[in-house]
Amino acid sequence: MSQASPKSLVIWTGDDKFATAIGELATDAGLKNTRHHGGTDPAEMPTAADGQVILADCDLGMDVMARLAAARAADSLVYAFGGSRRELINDVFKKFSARHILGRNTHLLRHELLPLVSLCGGGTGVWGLLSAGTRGLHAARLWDGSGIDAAVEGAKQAAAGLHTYSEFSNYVATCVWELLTNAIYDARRGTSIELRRDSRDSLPEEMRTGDRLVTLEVNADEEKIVIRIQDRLGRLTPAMVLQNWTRADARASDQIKHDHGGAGVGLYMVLHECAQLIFSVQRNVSTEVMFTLPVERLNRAFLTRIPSVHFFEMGS
Amino acid sequence: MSSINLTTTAKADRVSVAFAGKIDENAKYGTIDLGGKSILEFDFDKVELINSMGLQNWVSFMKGLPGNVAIHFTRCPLRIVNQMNLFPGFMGERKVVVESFYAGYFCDACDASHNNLLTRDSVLNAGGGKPKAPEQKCPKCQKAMEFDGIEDKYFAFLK
Repeated sequence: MSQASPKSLVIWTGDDKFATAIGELATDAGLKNTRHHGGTDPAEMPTAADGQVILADCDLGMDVMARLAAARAADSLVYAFGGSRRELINDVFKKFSARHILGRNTHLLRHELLPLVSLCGGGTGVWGLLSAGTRGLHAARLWDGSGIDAAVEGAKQAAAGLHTYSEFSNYVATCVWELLTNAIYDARRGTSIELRRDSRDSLPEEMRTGDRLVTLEVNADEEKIVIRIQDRLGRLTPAMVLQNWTRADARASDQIKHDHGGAGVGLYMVLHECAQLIFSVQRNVSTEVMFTLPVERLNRAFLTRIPSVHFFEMGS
Repeated sequence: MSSINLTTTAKADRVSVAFAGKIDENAKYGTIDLGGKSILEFDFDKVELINSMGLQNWVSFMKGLPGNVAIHFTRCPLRIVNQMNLFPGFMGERKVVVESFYAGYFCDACDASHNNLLTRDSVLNAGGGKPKAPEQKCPKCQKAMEFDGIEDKYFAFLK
């Protein structure tokens, strides 16, 4: 069986410094890359031939991004976006049905490019790339809500052992709690993400079937902590994520109402408390949600970073 | 069983409620006896975690408090400040006086992070009425520390 060649990355930006930084990191990651020097007229836009993924800088103009989005497949486009976390949802993810957004940070970190490496390789193996060379700090297997508190505490303690600012472990705890809850309760419910509040008791042993299993892995190296929560359902869709983000965003602007479940707000909290959020869904098989936080000394360094969001889908 | 403990203390001008534990889906706040006082103080110093379900329960609790009582927040950890900034509804759609709260500082000389307790007045006075991180000295080397946050965003709840 022949294996398809990795796609190359076409970098389209007017910012030389940004292009150089991306190009160097892509080359270091083993990714073939070129820079596109065309203008913004339709005839000069990059073509995204079959063997290419375009990284388009939103600073080129949102009308240009709209034209690109209309003409290219979502999984061949990565938007480099320099706005705030809230704009990330409204202006890019929603408007262009974006699946891949790279935070346009002044100082790019090596691991920020790894989802792009995965995308160019066909969308597989994101966790393998992110966790390569890391050490495992904590892991848990859960079938129900009874193990959430212990799993969150384990992740929090693991994060607290890293040489970073004090709030770091709280960011990790919040994200792990929300994502585990989502995987254990909400994913099972199917279409709407709502926390079922009735059961924190352990399931009987005979009900601990493989499809109920949710796993948590917490790994780290010198640069980052990387965490994966995985269920065996594979039901999450971009529309579900977006629906909850925008609902929570509206509530953040206005007020929080008590007539919906928790995870709409939860995913919104996660977006605000991690640097890189990656969904990888194998339809009806599994959903992986991964997030990273850079191991840095200052909370301010994290707060000034624009998050990246990626949504990989297979078998849809 | 509630995931948060409430310790209620009557003070000269107010009733103070100190929280300890988690603001989550299992947090129960019960009914607070105001004993005729007009100020109700919530002390968040020992709150370990807040999650999305806890946030929504909290908002319901806040909305159920009598409208004629002044609510004051004290010793808010960073995670509570973050929620106030991210979700203004955390205040229960009413005026809340945030008397004191923690903020992150970093000592470059000692390579150490500290969460220091600041008062609303000290932050407003430092900026002449506009929120600004007041200077803080490292408890170990006594050198000035840098504020570890983004002032405009972190102090947004004071505006």
